[in-house]
Order: sequence, then structure tokens, then C-alpha cells
Amino acid sequence: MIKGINVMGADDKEKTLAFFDALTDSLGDSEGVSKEEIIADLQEEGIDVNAAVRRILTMVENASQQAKRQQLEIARKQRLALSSKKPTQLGGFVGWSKEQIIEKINELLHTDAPLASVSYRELESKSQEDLAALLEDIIATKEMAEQESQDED
Amino acid sequence: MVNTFGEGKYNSEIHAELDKADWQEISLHLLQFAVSKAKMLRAMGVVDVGPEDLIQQAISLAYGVGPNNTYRNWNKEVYPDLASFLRSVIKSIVSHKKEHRQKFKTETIDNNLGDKEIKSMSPETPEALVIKNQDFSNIKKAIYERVKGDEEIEMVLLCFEEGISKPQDIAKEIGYDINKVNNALKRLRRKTKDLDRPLD
Repeated sequence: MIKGINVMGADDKEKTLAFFDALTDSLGDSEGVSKEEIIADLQEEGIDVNAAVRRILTMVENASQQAKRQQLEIARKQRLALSSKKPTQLGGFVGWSKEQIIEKINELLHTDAPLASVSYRELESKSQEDLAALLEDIIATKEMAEQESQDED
Repeated sequence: MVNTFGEGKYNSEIHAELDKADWQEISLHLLQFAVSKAKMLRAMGVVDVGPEDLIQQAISLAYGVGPNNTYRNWNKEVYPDLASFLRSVIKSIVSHKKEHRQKFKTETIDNNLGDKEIKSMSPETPEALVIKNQDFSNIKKAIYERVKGDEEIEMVLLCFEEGISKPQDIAKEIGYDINKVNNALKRLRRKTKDLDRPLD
């Protein structure tokens, strides 16, 4: 890199940084640029575009799943906090068969978009109590989402 | 340090919108932008952040799974399209790293535990800052040298001096057709491909 020893004032430094901000904003701006042109530019930079896009799609999938798990975890903590103060909420599903609980879980997972792709394999292998707790968490997550939506309205 | 990324909160509707987005297309726009921004960071000496790191951080913030579960809520009124919103998030991240870089430098030191090295942060000395700033100023001079004679790019660079960066705004400012500006930017992109490496 070219080096010089002239002293640069604070204003000059700010201006230089603002110049590089504008330069890199502009060179990275792809609004109105065709997909083919973007791909060609990226390839010129030595980027394996298909591989990079695949990695980004995986990032999105992972972030989405992590956010869903996070919401379920919050709901679980809320349920546990509530159940320490009053009789267990799981009582709401007394008399439900394991199949009924699984059916309800599946129904909620398929109707509530934010939870739709949460993966719960081998639901059948869980105990009735665990399934009831999971159903509570899903319902609580749904209620939280509805409450948030109402708060914003 | 104040975390500037935690303004939002989880919103299931935004989550659903993010899930539905055309990420295949958005990825290309993000890559183009992040490549450009990562180059600037590398030119500043922030060498451990690549384009995909910037994209990863932006996506994490949009979904609310960033550091300390921080969020950046997608406001569709301000950014009707998701790519623009994520570009703005990347800009914030870069700005944050730039500020941090200006205050601190990363040192690699031998920890006497074999081959591994550890990194520590210490305040940038005024002398080091003067040299670094001068380096940056010289990169700018080198860019001007490279484009000498290409009047269209020179005009575009003058717009950057004024902080004008959107191709449409540049076109308006200098009275060029947008295609002319885009072509000038394309040539400039080629000429500054090695912005983050020693320039002649």
C-alpha cells in the first residue's frame, strides 16, 4: 500500500471516509441491475456464486429455525414461571389421549406460519407429559404472537 | 460498548415475511453489496470480516438471533424491499466496525502455548492513526490516478466526494443518463477490484 507521512487533518479524514462510504455503497448497489450482470460481476471477483448462494440459504434456514426455537424457549420459561405460581397448566389436557395431543400439535404447526417448519421428529416417542408441555409451549408462543400483534395495532 | 443493533423486538409477522422472501434473488444483491463493503473494511485493516460474515450478521439481526438475541425489525414502509433493508443493516454493521477499528487495533501476540496465537485489543496510537489515515488518503489518490482521462468516472468520483452514492442521484446530479452512470460504475468496479490490496 502506498505510504506517505503527511499529517492528515480530522476533517480530511472524515471526508476521505465519507468518500469511501459513498464509493462502496455505489459499487455495491445492484438496484436495477440484471441477475446475469450481478452474477458476472461476482464471478469476476472470483466468487463461486452458486456455492455462496447455497451457504446464504442455509444461513437463512438456520436463523429462522433458531428464532423459532428461541420463541418456544421463552414460552416454556413463561409456562414454568406460571406453573410455579399456580396449579400446573398441563392439567388442561387431562383426559386427552396421546394421539389427540399429537394431532393438536400437528394442527397448530401447520396453521401457524411462524411455527410451520419447526421440526419435531418422533413425536410419538415422547411421553404424554412431554407432549402436553410441548403443546402448552406452542399455544403460549401463538398467544404471544397474537398479543404482540394486538399491541402493535 | 453500546450495542446499536438492539432496537427491534421479535415479531412473528416479520418472521413469516422473511421466510417467504425470495432469498435466491436477495442473496445475489447482498453478495454484491457485502463484497464491496468487506473490501473497504479490509482496506482499513479489518481483515477478519468477509462478505458472507456481513451477510450472516445481517440475517441474524433480521431474525433476532444476533448477539444477545438482538433484532433489527424490517420496516416495510421505509424499506419496501428486503434487499434494501438488509443492505442498510450491513451498512450499520460496517459503520460499527469502522468506528471500533478507529478506536482500537487488533494485535496478534504469542501466548507461549505452542503455535496458537491470541488476539487482544488495545487503543490505536495517534502515530499509527496518522499513518493509517494517510494510507487511506493515498488509496483515494491512486483511484483518481487510475481513472485519469475517463471523464465519466471522474464525474462519478466527484459525486462520491459530496456523499452522493445512488446511481439515480448521481445521474441527476451530473445530468447523465442512468445507463451511462451504470456503465461508468462498472468500469470503476473493475479499476478498483483490488481496493483492499496494495495499489500502484
